[in-house]
Amino acid sequence: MKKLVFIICLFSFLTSFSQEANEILKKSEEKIRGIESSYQEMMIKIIRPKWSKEMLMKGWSIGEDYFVSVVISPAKEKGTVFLKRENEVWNYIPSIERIIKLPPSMMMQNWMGTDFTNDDLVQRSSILNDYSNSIIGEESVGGLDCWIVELMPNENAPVVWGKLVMWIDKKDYMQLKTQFFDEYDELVSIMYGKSVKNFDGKKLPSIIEFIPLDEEGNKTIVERLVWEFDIYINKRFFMPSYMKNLR
Amino acid sequence: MILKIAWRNIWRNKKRTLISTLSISGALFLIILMRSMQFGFYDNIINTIVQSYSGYVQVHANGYWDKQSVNNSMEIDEKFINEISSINGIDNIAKRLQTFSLVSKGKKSKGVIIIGIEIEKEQLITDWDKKIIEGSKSFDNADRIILSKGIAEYFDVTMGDTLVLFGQGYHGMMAAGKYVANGIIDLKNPKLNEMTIFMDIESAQDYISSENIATHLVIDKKEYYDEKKIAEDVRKTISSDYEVMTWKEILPELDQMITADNVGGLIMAFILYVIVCFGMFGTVLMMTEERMYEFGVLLSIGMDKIKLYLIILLETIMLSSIGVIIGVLTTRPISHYFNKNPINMDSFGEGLGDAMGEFGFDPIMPFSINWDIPISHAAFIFGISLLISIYPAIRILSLNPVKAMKK
Repeated sequence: MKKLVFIICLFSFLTSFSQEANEILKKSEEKIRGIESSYQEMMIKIIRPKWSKEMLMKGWSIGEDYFVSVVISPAKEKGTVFLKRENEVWNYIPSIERIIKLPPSMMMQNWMGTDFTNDDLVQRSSILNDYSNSIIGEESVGGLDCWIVELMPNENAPVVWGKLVMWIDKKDYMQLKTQFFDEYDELVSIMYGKSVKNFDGKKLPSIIEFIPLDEEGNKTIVERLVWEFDIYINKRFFMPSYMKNLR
Repeated sequence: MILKIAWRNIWRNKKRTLISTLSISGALFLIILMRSMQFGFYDNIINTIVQSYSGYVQVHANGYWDKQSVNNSMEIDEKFINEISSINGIDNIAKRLQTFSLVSKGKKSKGVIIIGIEIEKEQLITDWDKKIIEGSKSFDNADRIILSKGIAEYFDVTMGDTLVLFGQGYHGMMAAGKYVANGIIDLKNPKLNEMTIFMDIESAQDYISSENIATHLVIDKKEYYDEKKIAEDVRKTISSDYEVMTWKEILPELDQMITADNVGGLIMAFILYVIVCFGMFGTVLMMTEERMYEFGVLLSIGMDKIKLYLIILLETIMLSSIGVIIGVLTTRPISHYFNKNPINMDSFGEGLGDAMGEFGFDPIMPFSINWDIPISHAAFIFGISLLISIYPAIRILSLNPVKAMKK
């Protein structure tokens, strides 16, 4: 009898532990994905061993399916629009007055010269549904106590990674660091969330740093200058035909 | 006197003379035609690709060749060019800015190489004017481009049509623009004709959002200078931030192709030479053996052995020179004819020209009219005839007149 109680206790403890990881991820994901709509202004810095480039952009989003961004500077690229509609990516280039729907062959190419691919933009995988998770430790990142959560992709999940390890802070459920592993369990890239700010009542890292490890000296930094949530955005913003009017 | 005797001796047996001269001239005829066809073909390739496109020597920023991107480009000023052009043997230098892009018109699109050029200097290297087959010979305006023949055909371009170029620019910039077709050029090379678009180098710099950069420095040499030596000199002159390559390094497959084909030709020539050798040797053998009695008589009445040998030697030389002269004289008009009217491989069979095009060669085969070929082969046959005359020399020197006359 004692044994049985012990086993039940152990079992409930175990489930509560994994429940906890689920809970953490859910809260963390809700923090970003639970947003109805958003408007942001961001500075993107592309850093290469020999040169670097800065771009100022505005972006609008509704839910997870609709996102559109327009380049404000540099002047030569001003007005260049990227539109994500569900799983399509559209591109408008003002100097040639052309709207292009990116073909699947271009999805793995860099997005606007950054270290992100076009595919990263449209990825619809959910860290909650597509991965099985477990807490593998605790650590402090940038002065904030974090859980370390390991995510293993489920068998049929539409995921390119072999494994993810995330550092999620205990207080505000922010993803402060993520390691991306390939299918051979090799670390491919690291993403940091830095300099936490209060955006419209939500505490979020204002700087995202993405470092691909296979190319030394490459780095992409996305800094959110303005981030507003749950505002009204006209749906036509996300029509391909409207892209040339964005500025 | 000796000359006269030798000349008469040759014509004592007309059939033998005829056969041996014919065998020499026939072999020489084949060798010269084959070699002039080969060399003409190489010259044509080198002419269309090296001399009028890639240049004999190229300078790039270090590392450009392995990773051909405008991010591996170099800034070039007048001083730098002046320094290089002071090197002995260099004829012309031109800057180029080369980048890859997508070009589209209507619903079609195609990957192309965009080359920004300095048109006046390019004229000196590629002989630009002669290759323009439609439209203007210059750009006239910053947004004008000149298309290679294949691209113009693919998009069905007429002058004044707008094409859209789209690609990666310098340091992560986007490169995009609308350009107007201003001319069509035939680069005389099927591969290049399929994928080259020219614009002014400043337009190209603007297209990829950078100033003053270039990816290639194309160096044309003066005739008879060695490109290897020039490359070495250039390397000494400039810093190690640049890589210097000869066309053989830039187009190794072309060099290898020529080398392999050349070796094949040499083997053929060797086989023909063996035939000639034995033909001539047979004649000389007959000439000496048949006349042993005669030699014996001559020696016994007091003819000098050396003089006798000289007669035989002169006979051999005369025979071979008659053969050589016939061989060279008959090939000359043929080479000249095919030099002016190259053989078109297309006429040999359906698709042969296309197959050559796949390799990047024009399917035409002009013959070389370089005097080097007949002269070198004639000289070689001459050498052989001298070598062969060693045999009668030995025979005559060791000849015993009494034995020779006893039969």
